[in-house]
Amino acid sequence: MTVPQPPAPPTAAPRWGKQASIIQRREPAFWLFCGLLAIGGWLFIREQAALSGLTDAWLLSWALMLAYAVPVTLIVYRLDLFEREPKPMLAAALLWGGVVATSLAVYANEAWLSVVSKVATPDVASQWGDAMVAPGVEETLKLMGVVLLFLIASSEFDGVMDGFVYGAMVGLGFTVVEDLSYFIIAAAAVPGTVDQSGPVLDSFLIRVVGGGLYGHVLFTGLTGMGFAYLVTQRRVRLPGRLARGGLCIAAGAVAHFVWNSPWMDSVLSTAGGGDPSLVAWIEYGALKGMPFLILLGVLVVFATRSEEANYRAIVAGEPDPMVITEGEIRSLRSLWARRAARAAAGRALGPVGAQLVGRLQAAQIEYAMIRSDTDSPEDPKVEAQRRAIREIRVELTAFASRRAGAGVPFGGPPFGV
Amino acid sequence: MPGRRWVPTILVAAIIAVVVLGGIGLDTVIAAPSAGTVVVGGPVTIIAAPGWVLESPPGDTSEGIELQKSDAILTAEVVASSYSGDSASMLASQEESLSGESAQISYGDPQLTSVGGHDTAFVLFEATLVSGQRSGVIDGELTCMVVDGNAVVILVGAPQGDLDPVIDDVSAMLASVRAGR
Repeated sequence: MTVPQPPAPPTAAPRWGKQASIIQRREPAFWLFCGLLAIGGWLFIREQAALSGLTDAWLLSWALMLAYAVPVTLIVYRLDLFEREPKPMLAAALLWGGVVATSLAVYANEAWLSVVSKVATPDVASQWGDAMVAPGVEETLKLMGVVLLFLIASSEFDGVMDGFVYGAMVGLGFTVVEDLSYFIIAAAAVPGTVDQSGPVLDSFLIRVVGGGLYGHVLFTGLTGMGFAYLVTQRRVRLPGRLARGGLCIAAGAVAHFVWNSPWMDSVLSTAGGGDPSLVAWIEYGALKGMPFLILLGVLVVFATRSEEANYRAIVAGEPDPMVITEGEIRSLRSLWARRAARAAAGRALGPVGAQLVGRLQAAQIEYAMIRSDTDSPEDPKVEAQRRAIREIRVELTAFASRRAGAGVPFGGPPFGV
Repeated sequence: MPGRRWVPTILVAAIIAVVVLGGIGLDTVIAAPSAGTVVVGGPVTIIAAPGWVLESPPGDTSEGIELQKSDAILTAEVVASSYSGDSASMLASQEESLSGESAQISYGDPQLTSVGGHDTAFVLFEATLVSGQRSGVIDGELTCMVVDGNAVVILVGAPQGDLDPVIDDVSAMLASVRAGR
């Protein structure tokens, strides 16, 4: 008697499980990345050595920016719901943004600003110089990092979401180092200051608390998605890809232009000529950046749906209903849906139940990663993951039965239905 | 095919080179506009550094001149043509006058020196302005020079943090102040 075997993932399904290494010695792009990282690294170290002259301000600035960067990294990482990108690739994206793009942008911005000041009137150069120069220079340099990562490990780009993740990480690296230099400049600008923490904290409130949602993570998230659309959506004809991908890249640059422009500066004006309040900064940031943040959010939702379709393609034909059900797939489609499923389990079975459902969700995500790594559904790794899922499910059922036996009512299926 | 790997990489390198080296090259090639030699008032002239252009109406030197480069502004004025005092006393009275125009101003220590052979006193300041185009916090330098009996006041201001990039220009312009056309 032949036992029906689960089919291999359809050829259209992405190979999430095959994680590429950033070290690709045969790829010229890898060596270009290394060369520019060496140049950028040297400039970065020189810059940091100069900034560390104001030791207290420098240390405080790094502490504040790391306190900002860690949760943002986790959020970006978690938003990629189904496919976890290789950590070395993410680290490379951060390094490109923080070390290469920022270092090169210092020289390029200065040169292009000088060009603008020579060809435009002083008023135009003064008011619009940053808006005219920075989006072109910085968005190009940052996007080139995403392009290089694609050239080094193109197999890691199988959807628009990957462009968001790598773009956002490049943007995060950039914003950490750029903001840090602004904090130190603010501390250095106060004459005769002894306590350097005041200007640093003020700058942190303005740039990160007031405007942190609308900066480089947003800009490069958008441009990265545009690039990923261009290179991954091959079923769309080239003109369509160029138009939509180009629009997305343009949206990132326009967001940066609007952010740097003097538009809506009146929000910051105060009657006595003093510093604007934090509320004014938050209002100013929201007016300029919120429309683009909403656009990014909508695009991330669409990209996540595409990832869900890929997940379905990978687990399609799974004959064992103990591995994953349709309801469970639906409950994996967003962070909110996942949390809702865990919360439902928590309400029915208490904290242990919620924890077990969380483990089950993680195991089911991992199953797709392993399943997509092999052509053989009988691969020992796939079988082992199936076993792991079944064991969690048995544990969950046993726990529910024990509670029911103890007279604790079980209010229904734990999750995903 | 090896070429297929190299072409996009070379394209990326070229784009980065255009953005960085292209900007630096273009900046070198394009000459900065300059107001050249400008009459401050009476016989006193100043040579504007590259990038500094005249903002006050041409020929109107009744209340001095105003030069601008990006966010930085330099004003120069001859306040007396037969001045018998020294630059230090002139600086003290100009500090007082400037304090009246600012909501809040704090000065560094006054410095006495000789620039281009002229008795010179200057002081750095940080001011909060409440009106006009330059409202907000500015960094500045107030310089008083006695140039062949002419009392010359030169004021430089830039938004906080923007004074350093132009300070070399300012030094060059101060050294260029002359009496006699």
